[in-house]
Amino acid sequence: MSPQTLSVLERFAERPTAWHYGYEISRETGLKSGTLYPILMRLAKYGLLETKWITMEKGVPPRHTYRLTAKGVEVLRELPAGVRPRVRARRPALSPSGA
Amino acid sequence: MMMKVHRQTIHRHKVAAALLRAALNIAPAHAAEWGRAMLGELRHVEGDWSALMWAVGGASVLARQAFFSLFMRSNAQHIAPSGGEVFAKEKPMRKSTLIVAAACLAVCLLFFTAPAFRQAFQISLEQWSSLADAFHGSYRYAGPDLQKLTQQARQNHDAEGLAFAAMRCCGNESAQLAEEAVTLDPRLTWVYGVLGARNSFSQRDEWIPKLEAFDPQNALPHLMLASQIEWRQIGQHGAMNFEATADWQNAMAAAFASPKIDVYRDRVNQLDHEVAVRYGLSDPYEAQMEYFLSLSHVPGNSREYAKLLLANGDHLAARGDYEGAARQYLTVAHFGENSRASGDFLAVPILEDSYKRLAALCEKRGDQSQAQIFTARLADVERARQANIAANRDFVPRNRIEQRDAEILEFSGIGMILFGGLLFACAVIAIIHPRSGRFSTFRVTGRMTALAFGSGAGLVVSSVVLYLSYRPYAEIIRTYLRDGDRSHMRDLAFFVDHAETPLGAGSLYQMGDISMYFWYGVITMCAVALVFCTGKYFLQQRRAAAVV
Repeated sequence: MSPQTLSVLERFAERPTAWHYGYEISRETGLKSGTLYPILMRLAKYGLLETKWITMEKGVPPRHTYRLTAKGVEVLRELPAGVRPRVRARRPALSPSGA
Repeated sequence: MMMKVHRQTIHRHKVAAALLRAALNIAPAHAAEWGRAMLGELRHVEGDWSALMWAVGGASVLARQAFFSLFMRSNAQHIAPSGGEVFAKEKPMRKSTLIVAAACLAVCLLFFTAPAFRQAFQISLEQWSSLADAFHGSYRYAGPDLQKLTQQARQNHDAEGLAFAAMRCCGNESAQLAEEAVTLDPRLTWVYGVLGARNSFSQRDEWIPKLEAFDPQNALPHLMLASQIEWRQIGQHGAMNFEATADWQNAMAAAFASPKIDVYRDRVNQLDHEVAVRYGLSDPYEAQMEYFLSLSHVPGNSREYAKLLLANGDHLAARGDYEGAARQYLTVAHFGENSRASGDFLAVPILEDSYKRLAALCEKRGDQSQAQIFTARLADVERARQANIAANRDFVPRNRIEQRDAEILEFSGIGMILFGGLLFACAVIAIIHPRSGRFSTFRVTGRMTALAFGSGAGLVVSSVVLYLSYRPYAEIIRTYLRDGDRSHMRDLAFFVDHAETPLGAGSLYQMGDISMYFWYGVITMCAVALVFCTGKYFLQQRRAAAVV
């Protein structure tokens, strides 16, 4: 697993139930769009990440958001201790909208 | 001012959005949603340059997806059985990818069926063999084709074949082959003259009287004898005293008095062509006579003897013996003209000195018409000298063309080896990796697919460039074998000569063979070490990731 994938998973592992924006993850991990999106695409392809379009206000295009699926959390727990991001207990997300 | 900045910002955002929209047009269906996601995020990216960078990154992702979709099956939803396999980045390889790679390999192999291509590839490898030869301290003179020819010529008692081989070998082998050839056919005694003019053989003492008897009007055996005396004197005393060596002066006097100088260029050309056609020899290293270029001057230090004669003439003229002086000058002029006729342009200064003196002497004696004749001859020699300089000036850019072609050929040869190796490695990985032996289960990473495809394309392009760069030179050999036309053989000689220099070592060329090859070896080793260290670093990275 690449360090970049690990850092993305770390972001999700911190708040497993929260929905995250692509640009928000990019800023938190320092990854450029060219690196971040292939990782998100791969995680989504394997069913570890679920995606949703969210409309914030009328007239503004919707935004794509992401969060770990139950399978994603399970897979993260299967990873060896040395590389596994710490998965926090599932709790209701605060932003941008609850699970 | 504020308006201007704001307008620029709007422009950059517009450019960024336009870039992503354009990339969306080429994106495959499964990646379109992600393209729209990146486009949706764009308006939230802070900073106009950051927005532009975001769009560039996004567009590159979509372009990659579009490229891989050409070779990969469409992305259906995959079920990940375990954490380790999620990150393996494997995709089923399309049969078409494998077919394209195999087709590239087949095209390359088809090229090898053409003899000209095989020759071109062989020449491109010569840079490595000359490198190996330099470190082993020996050079390959007789290639496999020549060895085969020698064997056949011995079996068939073919004197001309043996003479052909003798002129291309070196040392004792060359002398032995020449003697075998002359024993079979005494009409080939002139081969002694060709070899004797080129090198100092221990057999030269025996060859000189035979050559003198064979061609009594030729100055060549006398010049060979003078050269032999020079070699011995320099070997014994470290220097040569021309004025005090009677043997040398006698040999030179005989050479200067001879009616002609023949280095047997025409006979060599005729024999070369006949033997090359007889044995179907199209190897440029054997067909072209690179050493023939070194035969452009005759052996022996004839210029020193000319100086002695001219000084003697000056002395006689000072004493008033104009007849005696004229004889000395005319002897030098006669030899100079003979040398020039044999293609030796080193004789030009001798000719100029003698004609100047003869013209001055005739004027002194009041013979204006004779003085004008010698002045006209002097002008003729000067014109020939200028023409020779102009030809050499033209020769330098022509030589550069051959150098460029040789470098393209060497580069293509290296490309073929590199791409062929990569393609082979990809094939090995693809065959070893699958869990079952079935073709459809070949699973390789996207990067490896791209690498295999790129290597295949690179192999074909290298093969085509290699063939095209050598084609004009293959045509030169073909024309030579068909019509005996040697007019472009010199170009071929320069081409193969440049092709022997390892690629990129041209700047080290002036250092001399061993130093050049040593430093070239050091630079190559450093480059290999760098590649090795980089590879090891990436392997370690992968191993760390593979802990999963």
